[in-house]
Amino acid sequence: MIKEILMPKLGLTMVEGKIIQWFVKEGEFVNVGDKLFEVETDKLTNEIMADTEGILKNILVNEGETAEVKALIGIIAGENDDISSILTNSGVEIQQLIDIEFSEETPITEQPENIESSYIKATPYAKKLAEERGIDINNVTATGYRGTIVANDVENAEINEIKIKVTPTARKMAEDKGINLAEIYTGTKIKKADILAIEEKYPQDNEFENEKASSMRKIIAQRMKNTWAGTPMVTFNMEADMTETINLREKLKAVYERDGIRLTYNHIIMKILSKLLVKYRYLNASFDNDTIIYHKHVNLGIAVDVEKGLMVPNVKEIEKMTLREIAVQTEKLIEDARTNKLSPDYLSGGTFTITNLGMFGIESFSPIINKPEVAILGINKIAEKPVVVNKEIVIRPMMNLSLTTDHSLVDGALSAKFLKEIVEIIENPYLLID
Amino acid sequence: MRQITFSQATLEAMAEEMRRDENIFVMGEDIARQGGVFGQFKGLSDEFGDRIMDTPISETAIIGAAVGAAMAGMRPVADMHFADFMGVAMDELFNQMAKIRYMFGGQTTVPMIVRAPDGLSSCAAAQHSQSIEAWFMNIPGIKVVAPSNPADAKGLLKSALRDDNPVIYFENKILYREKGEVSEEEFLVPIGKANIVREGTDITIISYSIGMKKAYEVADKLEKQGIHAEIIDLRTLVPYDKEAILKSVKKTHRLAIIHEAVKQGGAGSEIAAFVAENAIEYLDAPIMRFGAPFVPVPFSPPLEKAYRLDSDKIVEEILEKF
Amino acid sequence: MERYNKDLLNTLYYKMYKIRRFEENIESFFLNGEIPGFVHLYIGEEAIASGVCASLTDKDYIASTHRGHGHTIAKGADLNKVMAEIFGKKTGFCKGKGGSMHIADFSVGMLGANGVVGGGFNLAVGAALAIKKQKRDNVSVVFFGDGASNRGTFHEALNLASVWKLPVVFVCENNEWASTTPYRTTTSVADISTRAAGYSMASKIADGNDVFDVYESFKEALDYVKAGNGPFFLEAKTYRIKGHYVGDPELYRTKEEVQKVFDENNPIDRFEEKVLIEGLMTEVELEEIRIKVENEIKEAINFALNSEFPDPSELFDDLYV
Repeated sequence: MIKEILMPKLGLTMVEGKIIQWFVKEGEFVNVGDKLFEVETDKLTNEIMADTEGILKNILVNEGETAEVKALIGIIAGENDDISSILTNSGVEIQQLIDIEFSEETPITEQPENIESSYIKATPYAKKLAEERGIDINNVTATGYRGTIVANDVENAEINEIKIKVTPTARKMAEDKGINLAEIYTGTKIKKADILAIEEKYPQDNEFENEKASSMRKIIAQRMKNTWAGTPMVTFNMEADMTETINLREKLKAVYERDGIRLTYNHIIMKILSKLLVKYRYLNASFDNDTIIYHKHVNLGIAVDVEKGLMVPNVKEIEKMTLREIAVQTEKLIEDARTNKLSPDYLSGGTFTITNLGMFGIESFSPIINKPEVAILGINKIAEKPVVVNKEIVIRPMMNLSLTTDHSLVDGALSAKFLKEIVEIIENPYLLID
Repeated sequence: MRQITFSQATLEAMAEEMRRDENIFVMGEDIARQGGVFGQFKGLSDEFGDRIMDTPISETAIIGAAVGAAMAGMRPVADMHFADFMGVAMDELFNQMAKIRYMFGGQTTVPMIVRAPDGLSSCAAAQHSQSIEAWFMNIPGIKVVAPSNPADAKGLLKSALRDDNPVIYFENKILYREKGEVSEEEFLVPIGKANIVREGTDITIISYSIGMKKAYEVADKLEKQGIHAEIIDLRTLVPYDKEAILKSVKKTHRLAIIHEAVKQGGAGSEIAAFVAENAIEYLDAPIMRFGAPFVPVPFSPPLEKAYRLDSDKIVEEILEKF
Repeated sequence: MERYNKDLLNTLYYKMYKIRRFEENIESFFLNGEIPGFVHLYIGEEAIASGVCASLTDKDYIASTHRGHGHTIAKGADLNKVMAEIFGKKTGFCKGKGGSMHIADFSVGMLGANGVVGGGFNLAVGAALAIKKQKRDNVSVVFFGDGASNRGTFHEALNLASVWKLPVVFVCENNEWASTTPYRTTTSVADISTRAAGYSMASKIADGNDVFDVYESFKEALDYVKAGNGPFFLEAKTYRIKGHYVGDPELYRTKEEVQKVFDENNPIDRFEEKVLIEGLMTEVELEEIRIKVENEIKEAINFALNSEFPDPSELFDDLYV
């Protein structure tokens, strides 16, 4: 079957969208529910999933390009489907397609346009006004000459952002449904009923659901993107036989429980790291603006999944702590993070981070470094696996460790050595009292 | 109020000031017997006799002698016939007249006026049609005025005749015939002070001399589009009224400068640069300059017409920036 | 020679000797790098400025040239302020704004040296026009060189002065060199004064290195002009002993040629010789004047060296009234 991919109308006011990213390359197979592309409107960015399986035959609107709502932007089809009639009907000539296919080879000519389009054209006065009124110029729609944001646009933006009288419920609903309040504002306070009426009048496309990104999500996105784009990261994987560590935990667990303390594998690995990171100063460091900072203490961060996203509180000066103290302190930080009680102090100053996806059955992944740190340790699922011990195949509880390091500071050999030593202690936790 | 022409206004200014100050005298070609090529000195010699002096065709000597006489206590007025001929006397204008007070450490003053009829008339071609005021904006030591109407013509000339600095008085040839209200009471128009002739909120249009006619035309056409232009008649080019310009631009956030002189390196360039340097954050559109193309003034009527500013085109360009 | 009383003789010698010693000092300070800019010396031509200015009052005007130290001193300007100006000091006549090429002393009618060759003609004509309009019994004198007589300003000025019968004396210092070019190769006449005829102007040629001849000839010019006959043209034949400017490599002439003129036709030597032979002055009297001059120059140098440079805050002073 052939599926035409159209630019979705994401909300009432959307007239065009810009393709930020195609997650699938031309010629690749997609399943239903696979991320297909990311589209940006003047308000938000959405990831669009494939609703058909098949081969992404053609990408007609490339990354960075803009298309009108309902415009044909790509085609998913079976291997032997003839799509030429669609291309002809849509006005796209086959010849052009060839050009598009080769466009990767001629990116230089496109570059100046990209530079031009990425610059926000605003008059000096518009910028001044936006700054004075606390309006993000990036969110202002340009109506001025040659696509320039002029003072009037800023003033309109201000009306949109601030001056519309609206009940909190109605505002929330409008946000959720992608309705531009400015467009329906008539001067009287907008209420829930007004939004519902609009929705009735313009039924929303049910294929997509929009949600405005939370500020935490935006920050996470920005950090992740920056780290991804600016850091040469390498992930190293190594399996550890957990037999001895499991024994250790079982024996201590009962003792700790008497005092109401819960002991997890995270705590034990943190204890191991607290010991090793004092020794491996390159991994307990920050690297920013060409300066290497070696930290005196180990402030060990732990990635905590919270309702709106991700938080990484850190256990301060963990190298001075006993396992018991680590267990208590870590659990408290996690609890505080999840109940939104965390003091901001615990969210900064980290020197190394661990992230555990084992509870979700993950066996290997590539964690992204929490900049300006230079390394992160990913902890995976403990799984019974056949391994060779003394030339015999035995079943052992194995766990994979995924260490990502910043290759600009930490060389591969050092990373491997560090990871190996973690594994050694896990396999022989008596070394902790060494 | 009574209406008199620009030319009559200058005559009144001359006569009033010459009666008041006997050190004033006038030198120029064709001014005593003929009353000036444009009649702008008509009748003055009847009243003032040899204080109105016909000279040989010697612009160099006219300006040089005026400088010398000014240094020796007189208040000469030197007529240049056509502003275009100032080039003949350029050394006297910019190396002598402009610099003498400064380079001699303020030992003397050079109170004199150079009257320079300028601008396009009817097919006067390349050497009799120019507006060269911008040259003199680049020469410290001179004041430069360019009135746009009879009242300013009189008031500025009277002020110039009382100023102890050399003043170049650009008088547009077409404006001579223009009538306007001029008070019968004595008045002066201060040098260095612009006139906000129409208040507006959406764009500032700056002009002077004959350019003001275009400024009004343009503003009227913009008004029909709902754009309220503020018009500033600069009146003086050196020293120009920076305060008035900034104040207006900060109010309207847009600026257009119109003059008949060549756009490149024209007065508009200076004003544009000044505003960009001092108030760019108040600008909501690029500064627009309107002036003559970078070409000598051609003779043939259709060519001359093509050379002239067209208010419709100016309006069109301004609207594009809204 | 009876008409030369002692005062006049003293004046002529004093002016000439003062100019000579002033210029010699300027030359050595300049060569030592103590004077900014560049300077043009009047050495060898002292008799002209001295002979002319001896008959002028402070109410009479002179317009000068880039080689103007001699005219300024002869017109009676305060030597301290002349020296200070050349050194670029704020105590100079022009508060350090002018320098060697733009010295003026309006208090004695010295309307300024001029950096533009031929720049002074019309200024002097204008000053003469003012004198005429103000009905004063004064004259205006313009000093200029043979080179300047080829400027258009020369011709416009002569014509205008002539048609308006202005009280102006054109004093041509024909020193044979227009900058570095011999005037004979660039000038259509051997005697610049013949050009006066083209403007119906009376003229005379004087020996520019004989202060008595200059004095007498200028007296004649003065009488003629003051009688209301219009302008007068006086050509004083002389020779420029020094280069066009201090530091001029003088590739256009030989040292011998210059030395010969200096040895044989030096206006100061000629004056001394004449007054001593004719018994008009004694060696003692001359020596007294020389000592007086040396003291004044020493004082002027001290004044200039001890004066302050202008403050940068004075940059805009005197631009406009």
